[in-house]
Amino acid sequence: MNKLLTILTVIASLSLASATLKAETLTFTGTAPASCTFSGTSPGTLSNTSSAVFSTGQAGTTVTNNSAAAYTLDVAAVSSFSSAPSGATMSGAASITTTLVGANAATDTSAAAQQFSLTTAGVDTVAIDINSATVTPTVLAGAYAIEVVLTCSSV
Amino acid sequence: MAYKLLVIVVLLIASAAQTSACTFSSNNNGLLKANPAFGFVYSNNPASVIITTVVSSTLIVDPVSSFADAPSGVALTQPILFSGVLGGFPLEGSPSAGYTVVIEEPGNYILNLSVDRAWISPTIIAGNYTVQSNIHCNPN
Repeated sequence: MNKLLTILTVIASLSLASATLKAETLTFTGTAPASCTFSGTSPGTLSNTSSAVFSTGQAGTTVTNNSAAAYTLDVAAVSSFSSAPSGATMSGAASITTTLVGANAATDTSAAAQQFSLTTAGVDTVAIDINSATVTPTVLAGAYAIEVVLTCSSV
Repeated sequence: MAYKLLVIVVLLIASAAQTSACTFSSNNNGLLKANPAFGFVYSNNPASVIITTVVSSTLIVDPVSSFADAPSGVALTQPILFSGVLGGFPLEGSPSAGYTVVIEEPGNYILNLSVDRAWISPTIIAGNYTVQSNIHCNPN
């Protein structure tokens, strides 16, 4: 008799427990693709000597990449003005200093193309200085502009 | 005497079955998408489930303060903001603190649940993301 009572009580308890354990999990899934973007790009300023132009204010931009070692930041060599007085041309390539501050801190000075490995996902502030761009035959009066092209390239 | 006890216990079991608050069926996953420009993940397709109640019940949607799966280094800056619709009516309450919804009338109800904002720090890292929202019912 007592045994029957115990068994039935246990059955009743288990049944009660299962009645209150009603739960479900809703799941959301998705994949964020790798990306490398530029933002907050600002122009620099140029000044000159009699034979060259150089920057007195840095141009800047912010590079945000979200995948470690998936991209390089490429800075193209510059061998011509995007605008200049008629008859003034760039002699050779401009010497450029590129400085990254942030997730992938680095600096490079060169007249050749530069490449930075974005080994860490994150944000980098990029500053561009034109050290010198020699003008042939001489610096003529007028407006000069130099465009430095930065590219995120997939590794 | 034993027969009497058996009847009582059977009635108890029947009563317990009656108080089963909800059952869930047709559970469909939602889809997440990243907004890297503003640094959050959201669902562009809601998760859904059919909730069946046989007694007056209270549906509870628990708050979520972490990803079930995410790339290393990714963290939520605050509990995920959800929104949802139950039986055609928007869930009322705090989007970040979960929802408590009284279901007075027994029946079948479709719950659509969306991730409105899962704010991420420091930035959205490429990879797989999973959000899991636990829901459960209590009898009223």
